Amino acid sequence: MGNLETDAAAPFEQSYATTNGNGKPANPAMEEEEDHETLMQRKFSAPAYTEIKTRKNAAKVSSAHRLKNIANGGYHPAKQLHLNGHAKTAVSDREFKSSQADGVLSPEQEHYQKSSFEEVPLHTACLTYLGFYLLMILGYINQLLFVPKVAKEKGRDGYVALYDAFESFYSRYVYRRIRDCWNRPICSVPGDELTLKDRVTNDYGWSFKFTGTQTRCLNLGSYNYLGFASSTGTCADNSEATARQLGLAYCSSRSELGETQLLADLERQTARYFGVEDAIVFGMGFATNALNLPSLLSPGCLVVSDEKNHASIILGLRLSGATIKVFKHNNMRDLDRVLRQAVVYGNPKAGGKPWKKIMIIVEGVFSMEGSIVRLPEVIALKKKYKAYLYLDEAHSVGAMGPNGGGVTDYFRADAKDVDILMGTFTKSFGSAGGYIAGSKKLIDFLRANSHAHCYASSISPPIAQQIYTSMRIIMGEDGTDIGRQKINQLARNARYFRKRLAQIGVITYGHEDSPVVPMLVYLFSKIGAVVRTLTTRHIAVVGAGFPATPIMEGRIRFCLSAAHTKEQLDYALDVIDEISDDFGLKYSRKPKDLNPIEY
Amino acid sequence: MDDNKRKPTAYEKFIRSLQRLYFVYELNTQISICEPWEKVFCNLLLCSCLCLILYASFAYVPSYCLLLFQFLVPGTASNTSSYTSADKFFSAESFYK
Repeated sequence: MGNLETDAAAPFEQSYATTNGNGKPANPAMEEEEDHETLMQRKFSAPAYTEIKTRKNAAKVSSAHRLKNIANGGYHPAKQLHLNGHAKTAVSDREFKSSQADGVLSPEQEHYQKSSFEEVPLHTACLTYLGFYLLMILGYINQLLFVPKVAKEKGRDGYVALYDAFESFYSRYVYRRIRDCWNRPICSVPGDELTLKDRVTNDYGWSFKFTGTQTRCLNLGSYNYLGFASSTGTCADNSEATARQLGLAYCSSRSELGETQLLADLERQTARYFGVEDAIVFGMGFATNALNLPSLLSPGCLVVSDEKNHASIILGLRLSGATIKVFKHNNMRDLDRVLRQAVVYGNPKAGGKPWKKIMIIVEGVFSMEGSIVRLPEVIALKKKYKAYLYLDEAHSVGAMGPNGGGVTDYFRADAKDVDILMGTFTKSFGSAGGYIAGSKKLIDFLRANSHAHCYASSISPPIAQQIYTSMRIIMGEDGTDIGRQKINQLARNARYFRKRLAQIGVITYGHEDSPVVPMLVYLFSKIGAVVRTLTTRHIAVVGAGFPATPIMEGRIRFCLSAAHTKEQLDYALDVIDEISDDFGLKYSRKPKDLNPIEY
Repeated sequence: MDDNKRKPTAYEKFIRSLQRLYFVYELNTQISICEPWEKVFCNLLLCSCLCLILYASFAYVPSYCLLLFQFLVPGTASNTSSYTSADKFFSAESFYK
């Protein structure tokens, strides 16, 4: 995708010349502008308390002091301090914020500069811990005094309990309290807007009743990255025609009676989409990971997997019986260390003999963090240590890259360098299912040995047709440029939304370009309050809490879409601004960019 | 209707800010998602702890509390009373020596 810095500079200068960023005309004396500008920056960038100078913050503190000297430099609109919320250190007034095109920063440094994983403020961490202790104590008191409204286990003396003690306690006394924020039924197609069915609970989350009313909300929770989730249009018409012609289901697995021309065409199209030799498709995205990893790996192999990998990958790895080593999230030095240890010391269970194979498993875009994997470095490490690379592009295929080809496209890497490209059709293609793409040898092996190919039923005809049509639209093979427009729209939406959120002052994780935006709220009660309040303001979002995220990092996850217009995003951002003021969500301590962000 | 929207009196603003403060306190301590009897229980617990601390500080270190009070509310500082307490303190010291 590169850096849009160069084309952003020109309109930025223009807008700066016509207004002052604060609505005043650009005629007053330069000094006055500069003083006002520096005053505003000083006001917003100076911490409200003296920052404790630890080893981690030493650089941050010294850079904050540097900001006070901007008045000494000359004033020039192009060389103005361009602080956007994602810059970790303040750039001095003499230099531009460098980009990859300038060749000042290496691509790796630029990538880390664009990702933000801000530390939690101390008081919030303490409050979160204390709040959880309080909830646990209250839960125990509840458990002691009152009988929960759950089904009882009868006749189980002498048998192991059905439910794990902590899990059932947590789900009954902590999760149950804000259970109305999850599993909300909808009654429309989840495009850029959706209709929620309202429900009320009279006994604090044990049971729900429908009120009969509906709420039309802006949809910021669906994985609808390219906006293909709609009930009208070419995709829908083609799927309907295929359903009428070929039926609704093949009722068989691929190896028995489920092999058809449509599926063969789809596989060839998928292989062409990525520029690899062959591909194989499956009916379910989760099953693609969980059932194919056991056929690729066996007990003598080593798997090096990222800390924040998805549950489907972890399940597949456990099923396979291979040895699993975890490396820190997106940390290339840790990956290097793990690989080196593995190659040098071999398999301890086999007396130090070398591993049968070493496989690195990463995801393209991590859905809970919003971060993008450092693909060029992973490929370099893989070549150095002669390991295999399995790239799970569930969220990144279609959403990243100038042609929608995922992270291999985004980093301009050779798709043949990645041994196994895996992904799902659920997110960007508006359908269901998963695929694995790679060399012909790999795909032939999977056709013979994969559990999902042999036992799971094949993709049904209208769904396969939806994938086929949407792929052709993205590649531009249907003659229109709708695909290109969607990709551009998604990229602009993602950048704009992230920059505006940073300007508002909330903590978000992840890289500037990823369309998944997790906003951190840390406290459990705040997840519930934010989701409920946003629903009353007609915005539907998804909150994520304990089992999916670490217990102290509750988050609200926004999934942007090419179907969202700027007006919808502006409306959402205004509401988020108000809510974060009311609930105290503006934890970020980075310097804020005060200029209006252009789209 | 219009009157309510356009002219919130200072009193109303004060009440609203108090309500907002209470709501933020509820959110941060995660009491907001609890049932009413749990809220009452937790609030009572917190208030009783605070009262205990305040009572203990008044009962066991009264001189310091008085000094703090006089520091915070400058109008009530009276020289004679502070001198007598200091005198008593010094005389007690010399007695032990």
